[in-house]
Amino acid sequence: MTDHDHDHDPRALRAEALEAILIERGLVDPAVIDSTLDYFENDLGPMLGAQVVAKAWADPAFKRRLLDDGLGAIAELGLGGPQVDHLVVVENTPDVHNVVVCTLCSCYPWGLLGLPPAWYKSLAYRSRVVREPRNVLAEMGCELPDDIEVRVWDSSAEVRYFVLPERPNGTDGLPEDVLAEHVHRDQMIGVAR
Amino acid sequence: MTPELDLDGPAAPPRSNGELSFEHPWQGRLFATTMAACDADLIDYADFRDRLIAGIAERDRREPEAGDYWSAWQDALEALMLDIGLVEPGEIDRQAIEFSQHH
Repeated sequence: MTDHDHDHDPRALRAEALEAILIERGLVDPAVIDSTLDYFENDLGPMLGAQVVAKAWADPAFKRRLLDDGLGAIAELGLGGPQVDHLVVVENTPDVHNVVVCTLCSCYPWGLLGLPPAWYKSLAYRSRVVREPRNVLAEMGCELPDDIEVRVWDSSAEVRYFVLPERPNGTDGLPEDVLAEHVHRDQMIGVAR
Repeated sequence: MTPELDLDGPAAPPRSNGELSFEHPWQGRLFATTMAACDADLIDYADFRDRLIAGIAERDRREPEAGDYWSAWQDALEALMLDIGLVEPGEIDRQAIEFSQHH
């Protein structure tokens, strides 16, 4: 049985209708829909990206592989991403801050961060972060001095971007699982430093 | 702009980070149906995305900041499935009406 909202929201009824038609025709397996939804809601999330960041901080060779071939490197951790051909990991440095957007819709590295937050999909973010990234970042709590270069990366269905934040001071020698706790979702999108 | 910032805590599993993945269950079903259709090679994700982009652009022009993302997704998916013949014209409407009468 599927867990539908049994109200008279036309959108809900249409979604249920489409799903039922496809299942009845044998075009999609209802178990696949259920497991996909479960996967996205419960198994995907920024803790996966945090694991990747922590490993990159702890293991310079992995970091080089990650920057060179994002999908290949995260596959070493059993991670990937539905519907993505390329994952480009961009590294923050003392001189460079990276921020990711999808100006046209909401392309996002699902396999590392789960589903994007509502603000990522908003017209305000999509249109403004490319035109005035410093202002948008400052509004979101990330004020950057003028001597730090800001690079904005526009995602697409084929290429998803992921920010490798700088390792914080005072974390030398920490094991990877503890390092991962120092990584926040907004850093991996680039709206936090 | 006042974006909805999420909890600025450690990266956490989706359900415990203070944010729902989907505001309404139908959005999750719709999303999962799209993914399943792509996996079954019924639709091409790039084709779907092109339509989604066009729908979002139209909504941006008509009603900026309406935040109608999932409606745009639904319209794009239905239009694509209609165009490639996976559903018949009016079929979704008829099925939706039938469901509304039985729920």
